[in-house]
Amino acid sequence: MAMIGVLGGTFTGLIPGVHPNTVAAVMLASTSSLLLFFTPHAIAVFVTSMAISNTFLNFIPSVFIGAPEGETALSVLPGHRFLLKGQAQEAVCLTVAGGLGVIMLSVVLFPLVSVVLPILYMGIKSYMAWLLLAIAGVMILLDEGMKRVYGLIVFGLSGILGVMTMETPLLPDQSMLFPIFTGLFGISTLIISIGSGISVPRQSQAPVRLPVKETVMGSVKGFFSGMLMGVLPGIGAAQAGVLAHELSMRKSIREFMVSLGGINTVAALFSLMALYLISRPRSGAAVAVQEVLVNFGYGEMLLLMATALFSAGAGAFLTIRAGRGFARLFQRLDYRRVSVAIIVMLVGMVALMTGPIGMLYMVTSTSIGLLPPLFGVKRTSCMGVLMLPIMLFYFGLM
Amino acid sequence: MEESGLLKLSLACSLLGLLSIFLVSGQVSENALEIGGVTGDMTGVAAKVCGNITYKHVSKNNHLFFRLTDETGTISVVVFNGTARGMTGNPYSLKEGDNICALGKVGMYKGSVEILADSLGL
Repeated sequence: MAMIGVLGGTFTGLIPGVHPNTVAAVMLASTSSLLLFFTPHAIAVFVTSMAISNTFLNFIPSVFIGAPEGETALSVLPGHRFLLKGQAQEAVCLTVAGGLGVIMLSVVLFPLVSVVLPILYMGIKSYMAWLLLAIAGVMILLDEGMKRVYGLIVFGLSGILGVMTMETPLLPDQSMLFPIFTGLFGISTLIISIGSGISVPRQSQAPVRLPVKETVMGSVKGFFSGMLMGVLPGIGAAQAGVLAHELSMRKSIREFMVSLGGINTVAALFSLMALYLISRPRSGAAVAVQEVLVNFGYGEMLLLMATALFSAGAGAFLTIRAGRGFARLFQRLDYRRVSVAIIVMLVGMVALMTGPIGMLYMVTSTSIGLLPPLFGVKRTSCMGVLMLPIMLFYFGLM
Repeated sequence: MEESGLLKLSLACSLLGLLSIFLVSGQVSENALEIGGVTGDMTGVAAKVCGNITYKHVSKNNHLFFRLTDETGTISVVVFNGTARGMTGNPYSLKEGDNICALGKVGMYKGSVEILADSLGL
């Protein structure tokens, strides 16, 4: 099941917009039937393996797809900067190194984390809403001048969209976020990329050499940021990465890529560990595991840790290999056509899964998702879609 | 660190992970839940229980009601008409004394714990 989970993680990772939480939610709807053929532990191993391996492979589309033309874009995502310099494989390897680094740190520091995390959670539980508000505030204030106002507008609009989605029963629970995330972060990025008329430069085929100091520092930063993210609901890996980067003294893009890879992986792991440590699911995958594993004890925790170790290794191996293949492939492909094909596929999936109402949500969220690159503010402002409803919930207003 | 070193580290991680899964999986129980262990706290959670049918009733609306018993206790199992019709095999042909497994969500009805079955395994 762990190996099938890696295949699932490869599928969800390589196709932009498809998240393992969506697959986990669909699985949740048919848990009883699945339990006829598989044991609860086998299902939990599959979900964990899919969630962890996905955190490695999903950097391939985020590096290779949706890049704007370098000179004209107001905001270029860090992975795209490497692509536009012909160093996409380096970006992929940096995120892989971060993911592997944090998994090894998690295994070694598990006894310490199992003591610290519950204390940390108990300490911040009462202030969760204020903490989220402070993080949102810092994220907006990181921009300068009028960009702060633009960032607030994007945060507010995506937040209102999130509240409207969660407060109305128009979309089924298991696919509620799919059209919104597809629009906010998928289709809008692709539209900007198509509009800018980019052509991917020749990619370096030389073996990548990773800087040891930046890899170690990035992994450590990623580990601690991701651990915090694992207990805080509504914070995305990109936001945690940006915060860790902006608040640190040294600002290296390579270290940032390593920490981003690390945060992504460790957040997925800690969202599962939170089930055992604080008895709270912190992701769709964790909800699915909680639903099937009624008695979630120390043995189950160790099983999921072992699964995470395997799927991280397998996911990392596949990502490095796939990165090389994509680097060769993308310099030969017509980037615009690839982007259009992906948009068509995403629209088809949204239509199939959520119908006309989902399409309406997708168009709305795409419009909001177009604003950050046009305003030149961080795309993470769109995480208001989760942060605002969660803040309102913790303030007792929703 | 070179890219080839990262590949080797990935392979080492996956092999170590496989070995750990093998060692740990022997320590966790894979069996169905004991009926006595299913409590109201588990409402909404998916559960699998196995036991002997000690009571069977089909309502006017063709909803199917069982009582399943194992050595730890007894629990009610409800199979709604729509669910029963979608099942492979004929759940209405089950009789008292048959040993079956019921899979579904744990629910509460009039203060008693029950399983709202989605599937039945013989």
